[in-house]
Amino acid sequence: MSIDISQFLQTFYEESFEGLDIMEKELLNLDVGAADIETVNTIFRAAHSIKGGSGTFGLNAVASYTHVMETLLDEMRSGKRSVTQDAVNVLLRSVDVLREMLLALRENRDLDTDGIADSHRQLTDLLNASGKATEVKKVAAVATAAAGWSIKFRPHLGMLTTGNDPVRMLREVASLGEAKVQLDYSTLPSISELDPENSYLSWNIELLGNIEKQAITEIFDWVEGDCDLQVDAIAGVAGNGHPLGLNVAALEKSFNLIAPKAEALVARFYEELFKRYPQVIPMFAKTEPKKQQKMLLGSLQLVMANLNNVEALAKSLTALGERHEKYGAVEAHYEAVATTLMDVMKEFAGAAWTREVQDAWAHALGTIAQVMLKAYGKDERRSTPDRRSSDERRKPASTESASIRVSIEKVDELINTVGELVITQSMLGQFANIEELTKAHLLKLSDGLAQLERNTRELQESVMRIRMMPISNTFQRFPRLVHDMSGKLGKKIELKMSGEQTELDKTVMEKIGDPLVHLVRNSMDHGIEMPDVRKAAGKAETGVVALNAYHQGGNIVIEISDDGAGLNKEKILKKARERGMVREDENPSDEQVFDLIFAPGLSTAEVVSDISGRGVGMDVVRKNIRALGGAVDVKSTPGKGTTFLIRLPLTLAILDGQLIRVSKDTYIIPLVSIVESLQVKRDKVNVITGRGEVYKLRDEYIPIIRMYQLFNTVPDNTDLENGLLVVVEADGKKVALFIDDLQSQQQVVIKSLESNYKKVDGLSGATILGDGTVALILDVTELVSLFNSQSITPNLRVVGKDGLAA
Amino acid sequence: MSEVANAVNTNDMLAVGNGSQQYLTFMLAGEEYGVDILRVQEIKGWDSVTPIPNTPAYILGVINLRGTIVPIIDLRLKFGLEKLQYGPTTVVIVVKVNNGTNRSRIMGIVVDGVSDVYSMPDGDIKSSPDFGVAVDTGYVRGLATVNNKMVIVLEIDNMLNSKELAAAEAASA
Amino acid sequence: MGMKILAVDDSASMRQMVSFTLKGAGYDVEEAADGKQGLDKAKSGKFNLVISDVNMPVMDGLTLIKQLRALPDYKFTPILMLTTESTAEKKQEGKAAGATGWIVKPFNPEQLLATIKKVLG
Repeated sequence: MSIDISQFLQTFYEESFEGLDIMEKELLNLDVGAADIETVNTIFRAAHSIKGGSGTFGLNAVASYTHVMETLLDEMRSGKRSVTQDAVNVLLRSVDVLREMLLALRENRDLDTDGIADSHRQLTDLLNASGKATEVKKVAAVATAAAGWSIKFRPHLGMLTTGNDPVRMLREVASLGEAKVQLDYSTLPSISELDPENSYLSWNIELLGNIEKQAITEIFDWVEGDCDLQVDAIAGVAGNGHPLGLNVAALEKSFNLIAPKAEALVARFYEELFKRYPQVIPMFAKTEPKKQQKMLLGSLQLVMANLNNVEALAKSLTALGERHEKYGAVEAHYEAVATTLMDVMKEFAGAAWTREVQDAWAHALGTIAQVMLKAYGKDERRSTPDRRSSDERRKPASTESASIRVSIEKVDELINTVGELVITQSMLGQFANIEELTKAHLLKLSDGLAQLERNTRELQESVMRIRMMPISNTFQRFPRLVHDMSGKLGKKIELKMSGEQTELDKTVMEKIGDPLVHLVRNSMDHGIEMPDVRKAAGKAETGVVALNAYHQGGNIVIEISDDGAGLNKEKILKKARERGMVREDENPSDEQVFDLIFAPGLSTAEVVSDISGRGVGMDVVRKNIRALGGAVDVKSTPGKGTTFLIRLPLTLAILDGQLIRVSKDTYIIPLVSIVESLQVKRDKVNVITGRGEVYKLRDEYIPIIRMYQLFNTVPDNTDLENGLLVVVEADGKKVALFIDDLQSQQQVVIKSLESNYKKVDGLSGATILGDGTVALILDVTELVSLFNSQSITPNLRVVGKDGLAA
Repeated sequence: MSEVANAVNTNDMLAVGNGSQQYLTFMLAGEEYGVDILRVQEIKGWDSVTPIPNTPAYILGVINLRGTIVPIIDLRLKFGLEKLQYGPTTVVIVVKVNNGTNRSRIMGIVVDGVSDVYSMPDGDIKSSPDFGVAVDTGYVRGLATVNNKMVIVLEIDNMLNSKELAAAEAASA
Repeated sequence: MGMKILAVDDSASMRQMVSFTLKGAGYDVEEAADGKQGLDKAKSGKFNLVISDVNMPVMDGLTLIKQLRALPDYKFTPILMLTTESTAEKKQEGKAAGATGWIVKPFNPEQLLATIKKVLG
């Protein structure tokens, strides 16, 4: 039976990422010098699980990498090693490396082998730093085969209480070969003294067959110490007297014959080998042929010299085997080498190559191969993962974050709601059989419908909640960020987090991570002052960056605040004036000035170094947040600090929409992008030659987009005064949409247009209204670019036709 | 329409073996067209659609098909035929279009009326000559004769894939 | 006759694999995510075999084994440790706690089954 273990990989990745998050968090919690043992244990357990799983699931690179981490952590938890800042830093880095490794594997990307090797080296350096000798490799016992074995097995009295059953072991022994079992019950006490929980019997077994001793001892592996076990080779049957059964005389005689021509022989050997097995050539690509030949010759001579010194022979063959494993030699290669070598030797020995010599060499080379292959760790275990890792490569890119972990509570809640729905349905179902509705029926029916509405709403909420996850998933990366960055910046910064359990949609959470990191970085980099500056200003040397999350209405609010220097209004204003973003005669309010930091013009690196405020990419931050249907604002008090407020919808699947009508069709504008709606006053409309119409709203001139033109439909009217303008904001620019009518506001479920059709410019999707019809959802940002792309001339032409220009 | 769906399921296996497939045929301006019945999801009556702005005329708009948004295509307009007033016999055939990759799309095509279901061996479908109807022959798998009538067997994957729709749109813009 | 096996491991992927493999071979398998859960499950029904990870939160595997061995129902029941630690020292710790034997990670499903079959016959 073969089981495809890749089906468990996804779970493994998920739990490993969780494990890594735990490791990271706990590593940051570790008190250097006085580490809490339980904390170290938790970290160790996480590494340990990843190692165990990765080995089992065939992710060898991960397994061998985590092994070093685990060893290090094991020494820490057992008190053999103290917890130093250095060690914590190296471990933190290895968490990153490991996370990246797992991500790469999951996504079928190539591993960053250099980075991994680098970090691996750091870990091993750390391991060795204490002068601890690396583990001495156990030299594998020489494979000793005999014609038969005599086994004496005497369980100790209490062996049964280990759950081991002697019958099972005897059965296994018998499965190895021909077994003659003799029961020895001499130690069985009289029935009155007999304790049925003890084992009194012992066995003498004669096992015949070409069986390795290890195969026998392995059976009794679990009861070592719980029994007396003696395994002896049966004398007289063990072959020719050589422990490995080698025909030393024949080997020596033939080798001495060839020895003078040995160099030519090895050269000839490789020539023949490459001819017969061209597939092995790449394995020798890195060595010079001459050197390679010398090495082979050396090995041969070594073997010949030690034919009678089995222990030394086994040792050097084991070492040789380990090296060959690294070269990538597999069992088939040994066969190839053996047959080629013998044929070449035969060629050189000529008539002296007798049947006896041939047999002696065949047996010798076979034994050598066996011993060398034994050094390959546990071959079976090794071969499985190798096959697996190539499977992994072939697999198509995995479905990332395709699954979601949901607490039982939420599922139960869902089931309860569905249960209520079923009750409502059966209650409403009664009406199907009523022939004539009475007033009482109608009352009951309307009750039922109200109940159905409530059930539906609850069901919707429950389903949405399934996608909701606590924001701690995003917050948890910040302790590390603050730890790393404060070190780099030379600042003292404390991170305070609250509201981590506030939930939001998984998709929103995945997308808000980067903007948040950006804002927190900025707070640390530009907000918090250096310790001496803070001290001089009468503040505590340690600055505080605080993250807070809470629900407000249908939104989640995330606050990022610092107690740093605050934004420098004058500098921002000066820069903005230099760049022509603010006119000299304008005198904007504090809020307006602070808001400028989100303007693309002020987001260049050059400005940042100048303004002791924010800069790089703040426009991108705002753009990303807006793309999520959210908003970001900033508040700042000089000397006291700065606070960023992010407002996000709880989910991307539902939005608060304003229904509007253009021509006969209903569209939906996301409420977040609407600034205001207004009736047109003719004197506020201006036509700018070549630019189209603008509407003067207080101090601003706002371009008017006639929706019916943009959508090529026939409206109720073309007279601006008879329609409505909806002022919307997109990418920081305001435009006024000219529509026929405003309808209701409601929450709508966003449906994709793309899944069955395609992306349509100006639309972000569609939704289904209460009456079952489809309404399209407008994408305000795209509408603006669509409007801009429709050239200037048609606007002019239209303006003329409408007679507004007159 | 579940009979159609059932036919789809059972024929899924059979069609492979005997080299014969079932085709749903429909009428369009007096001609009979056939589509692979395995691609037909359901047949529904004409209902109003929500138009999508700035799309070619033959994309009538989208409808709500049990919660999914499905585009509706007027095949007469697509083939450059005269537009017909939609009436009680006007039907929408909902088909599954394969998109080359693993993705498939659900689309509705408006036709004059559903005609019949024929079983046709693959060999009976002859490659199409250049014929008078304004149909790009890339859309046509071949012609077959059933009961002395000609049936134009359509290749809906070629006809309704996204590339085709995009190209048509570019041309109309 | 259905043999009942209890698989205790804090790693969900490991549990899944063990349980899937054993169920495929016709065993009844129940899972527990730590020693405490394992002990509770073991008390609530008699299992023919317990397979337990060693390093687990709440209650580790060695404690679980000790607790199990103290129960009359599990005095002679085979209990296997699932461990990455193959050193003699660790094995001895396990045996001292009362483990029947061990399965060393990494292992593949076939190896797991072979070992289980040996124990359960």
